[in-house]
Amino acid sequence: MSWKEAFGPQVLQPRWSGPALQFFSDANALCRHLAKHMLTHPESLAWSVAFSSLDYVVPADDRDRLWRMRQAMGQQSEPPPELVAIYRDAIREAWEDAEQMDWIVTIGDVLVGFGTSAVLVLAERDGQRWFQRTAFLPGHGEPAEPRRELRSGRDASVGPYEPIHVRLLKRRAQAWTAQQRHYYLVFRVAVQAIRERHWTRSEWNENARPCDYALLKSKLPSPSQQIDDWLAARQRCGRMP
Amino acid sequence: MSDADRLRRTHLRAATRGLLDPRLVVERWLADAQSLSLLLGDEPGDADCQDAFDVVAARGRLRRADAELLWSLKGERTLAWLERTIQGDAGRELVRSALRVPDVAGWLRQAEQLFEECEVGVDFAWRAEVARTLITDLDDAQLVELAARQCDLADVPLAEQLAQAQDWLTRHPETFLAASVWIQSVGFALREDLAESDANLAGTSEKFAILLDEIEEAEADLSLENIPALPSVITQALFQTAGGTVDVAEDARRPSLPDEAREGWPEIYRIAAWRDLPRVSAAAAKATSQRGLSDRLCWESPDGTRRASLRMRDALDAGGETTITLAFERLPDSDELSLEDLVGKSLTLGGAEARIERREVGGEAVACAPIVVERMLAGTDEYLVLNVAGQTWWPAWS
Repeated sequence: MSWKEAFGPQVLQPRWSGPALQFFSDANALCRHLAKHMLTHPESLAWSVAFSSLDYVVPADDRDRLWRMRQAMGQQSEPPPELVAIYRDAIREAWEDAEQMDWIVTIGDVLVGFGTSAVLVLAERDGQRWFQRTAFLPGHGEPAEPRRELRSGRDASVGPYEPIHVRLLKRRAQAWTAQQRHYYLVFRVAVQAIRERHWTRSEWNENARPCDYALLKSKLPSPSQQIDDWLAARQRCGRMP
Repeated sequence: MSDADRLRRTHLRAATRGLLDPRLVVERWLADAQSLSLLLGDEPGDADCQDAFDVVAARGRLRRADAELLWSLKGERTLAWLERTIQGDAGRELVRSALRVPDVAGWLRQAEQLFEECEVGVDFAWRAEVARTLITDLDDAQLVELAARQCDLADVPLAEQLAQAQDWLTRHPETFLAASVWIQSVGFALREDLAESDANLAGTSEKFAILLDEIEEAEADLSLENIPALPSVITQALFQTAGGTVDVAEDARRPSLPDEAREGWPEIYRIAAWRDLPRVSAAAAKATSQRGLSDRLCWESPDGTRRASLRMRDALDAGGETTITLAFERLPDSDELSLEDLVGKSLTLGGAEARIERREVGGEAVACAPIVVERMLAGTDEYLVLNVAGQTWWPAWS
């Protein structure tokens, strides 16, 4: 099965009254996005929490194998169909949820939506059609975080610094339900990341794009909201078993 | 300025443009604290050094947070959990464990590196992220050190190191300017009555006041607020008092001015005031011009009949250099004089050399000269001195 067959219909006719949405039509672009998001640690970890079926396809915590998968995909320009199918479903669900929850914003030729799974989708208008540009889990894709020298310890016995949500993932997540893991480790972090962005044009570089998805922040729930609110949103979108 | 005003700068641009979101800052502090409560539950005995450091710092941070914001975010329960966790012998153990984390020498190394990166123009977003991380880490370490003092675990070497770090920050506040919006938001996220309610805790917020002073100064410099507009009559008189005629025969390319004369020049004519210009593109120069900043940089001819002004809005990037226009105009009282006699004459502005050209703009002939910004600022003189055909022109304001 080719990746196009795995992806299914290339055009999504959304339930909202806007124009149709064209999914990735170029294998290279799709490979690039899969590699950058689903196959790059630590975002891969978050994807595997949000979409458990990914566990069978992606070794989310094994950086070496992730690297080999990225290499292979880059050489063949052909993403694994199973991976494509999960990505497609994630994107489709995110658009549907965004519409249902009104977590959707249009600014000029850019359309940004956010799903209850924490997938953020971004499309751009070209003529009469919206073209999918990217889909990712905000707040999880920053492998190059600044070093924390101060946290490196006054003596060698102090363990390395890790962000709190990563410590949670490693130590507590096993005792949680899948929904708790999804909420605390993925969704809440993503909302927080979006809300911390600013939509402003750089005064130093007119060509730099503003952070389009920062526009969503006024629509999203506060990260201090409780898991019950998120579960209710999931239910409303038909995402609960 | 009151203590509260030192932290809440309502007149800075980010505040007036509505970019600040102190609620978000407190949300982040709360979310981190909630994650810690999930991580440790009611059994903080499982905490390692890093967890302990985060718990002790989070408690200090939320105690220092604006009470109304904390209340509106339903943060009392989380703060109560933090207070409970820090109490008693178990709490003391947690503080003792937290004290093993802060490596202030490492912080200083990283801060020095950021300072150097500012000089070479590393990506702004990355610098903002590093600056924010550094400030947060220093703040956390100061909160932990304070907690230690308050439970009789004072760590004198750590306190001394942190004082050194704060001293470094005080001497190099510009290093952290990239995180300006976040710093301003933190200022608004702190409780207004902090100084009265807890002087020790207020001491940990001093670095934010220092950084806010720097932001305010930088913003004022950019908008020329700090620079009094000297009438050209005064600057001219200062020159004459100082005997400021330039000996062009001695060094026609780089005219120098007597020190007394330089003192009369407005600050904006100092080359140092424009030191960031070579890093910016034509687009940035235009943006600067749109804010009405640079077009006010003018010089008048010694006979008071002409004026030359820098037109940043015409900036062009080519061959790795940015070129701007120095435009000449007649002053109102000299209508009968033509600009044509300037055409073809050579000039120097700072370290840049140019020849005055005749251009048609809107059907009208104007005299102007292309100035390469990088060369202009490479001048050895401290000020932007304009010399036209051997004569030094006076700095003026349009």
